[in-house]
Amino acid sequence: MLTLELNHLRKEFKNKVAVSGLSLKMEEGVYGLLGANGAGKTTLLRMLCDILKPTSGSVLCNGAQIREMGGEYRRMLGYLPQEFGYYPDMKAERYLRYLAELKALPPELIGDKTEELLRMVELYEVRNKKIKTFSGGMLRRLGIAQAMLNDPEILILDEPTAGLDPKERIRFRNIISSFSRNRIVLLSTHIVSDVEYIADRILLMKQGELIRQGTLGQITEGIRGCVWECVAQGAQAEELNERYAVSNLRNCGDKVSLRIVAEEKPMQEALCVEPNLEDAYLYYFTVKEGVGAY
Amino acid sequence: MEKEFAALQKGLLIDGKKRAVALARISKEVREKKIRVTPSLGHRLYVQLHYMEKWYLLFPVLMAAGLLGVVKLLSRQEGWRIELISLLSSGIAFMGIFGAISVSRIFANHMGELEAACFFHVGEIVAVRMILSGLINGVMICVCAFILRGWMREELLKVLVYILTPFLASNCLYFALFLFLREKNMLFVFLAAGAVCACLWLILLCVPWAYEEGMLAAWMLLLLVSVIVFIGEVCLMLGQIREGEMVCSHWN
Repeated sequence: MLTLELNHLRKEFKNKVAVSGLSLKMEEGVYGLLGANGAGKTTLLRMLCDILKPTSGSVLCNGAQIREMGGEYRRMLGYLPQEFGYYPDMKAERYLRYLAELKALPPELIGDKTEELLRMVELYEVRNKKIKTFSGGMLRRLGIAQAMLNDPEILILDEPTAGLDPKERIRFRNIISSFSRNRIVLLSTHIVSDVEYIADRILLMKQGELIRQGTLGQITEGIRGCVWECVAQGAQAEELNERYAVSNLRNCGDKVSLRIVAEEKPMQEALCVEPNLEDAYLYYFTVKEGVGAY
Repeated sequence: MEKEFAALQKGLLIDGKKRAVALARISKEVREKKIRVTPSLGHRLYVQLHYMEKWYLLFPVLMAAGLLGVVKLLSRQEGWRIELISLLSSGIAFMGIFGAISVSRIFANHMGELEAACFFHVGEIVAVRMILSGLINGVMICVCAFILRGWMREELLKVLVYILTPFLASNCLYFALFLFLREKNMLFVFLAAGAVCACLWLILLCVPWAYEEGMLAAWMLLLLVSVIVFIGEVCLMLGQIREGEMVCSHWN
């Protein structure tokens, strides 16, 4: 079975610790990495891709150091960076062929694989257009296609659904779900629902540390009894909104319906409800930090 | 053959279950088997040559041809010797920017980060591009030196030193800029640096004794220093690429 093991992984930049001594063992499945901006997600993914050298600690793939494996590790890897790189004047098909060459695909497979992926991400019709003419969504789809060129055993995606419309996001989620068998897929995103739908395990990262990990059920279980729903009048609703972390707020006539994440019951009439991943995210990233309002 | 097999099979007892298991295993192997290819250095050079923008290789050729044309015209002037060498040195010093631009283009548009996660690593891509650009520039410099030697009736080695030194010294500046600057548009930085270097080497027109016989040792020393600095810069660059921070820097 494929394993990826992080041992006390740490990365320091001049005056900042981006990832602080993180340890984790990943086996086959889809992992969703959630965290606020600046939590160290991108730095962690870059170290997992052997792009960035850790200050200390190591990453092991099936027990071998990825730094020592070099090309053999990168051969197993598919990566979509947050800021997707491309040569603006290159045409989409030529771009995929170029990356297929860089990924050392057998020359006789390159044509078929490129066509298959262009069709999969619905870019086959525009394969001969320059990439600089593509919209944000098309660029993202091209990025997903290039990450899957070598049929990677380890797929690392940084913000893969940013810029995709809802239909494209659903399609992407289905692609990843069907692709993930016998592989490790790690995706970092801000879009909680993406993780909720496709991740087998969820990793919550804050200030360079992994503060929580587990299945969706385990993560939400941790905040059971901390999610409340209540209806309040305008002024009272405003006060609640300022005081507590509110995960949802909806106007119902002259009243306001609120979903609140708090360790204490926010008002007498509030009902304790089932938590979801968004509530958990809010809990670990705002309530635990002592910030009331969201 | 078929008949022989059929005759042999008559006496065999085939376990249907085991047969199905074996066939399932074979088809699984066929599905999952990955063909692994390790491209040769020749193939890697070919890939870069095939996919890179050809302008970076074509410009030095066009520029060297243009320079030789101008020098040929000026060589008709009686007594012009230092002028010809200075002009050619200045042009060849400028020519070095195309190699630096070709390498810096790898890091533009965040492409370097993506290439760093490929089997054929970004460090290798940089090295291959430098080899290609070095080959073109080297050939052009040799051609220029050979032709100029004929026109000036000078020793080949001497002419080679006079034009190779400005080329390498200027390249040290271009690669230093590449190592320490992260500008939005490196193209303009290199063009400006190229113009400055070209002007600096033209200054030698006002220093005729710089080309006297006795100064050849100084030229060779400068050439040696330039070679050492350039090798140092290349090692530093490849080291920084391996560390990763250079690849992940925001170039634009």
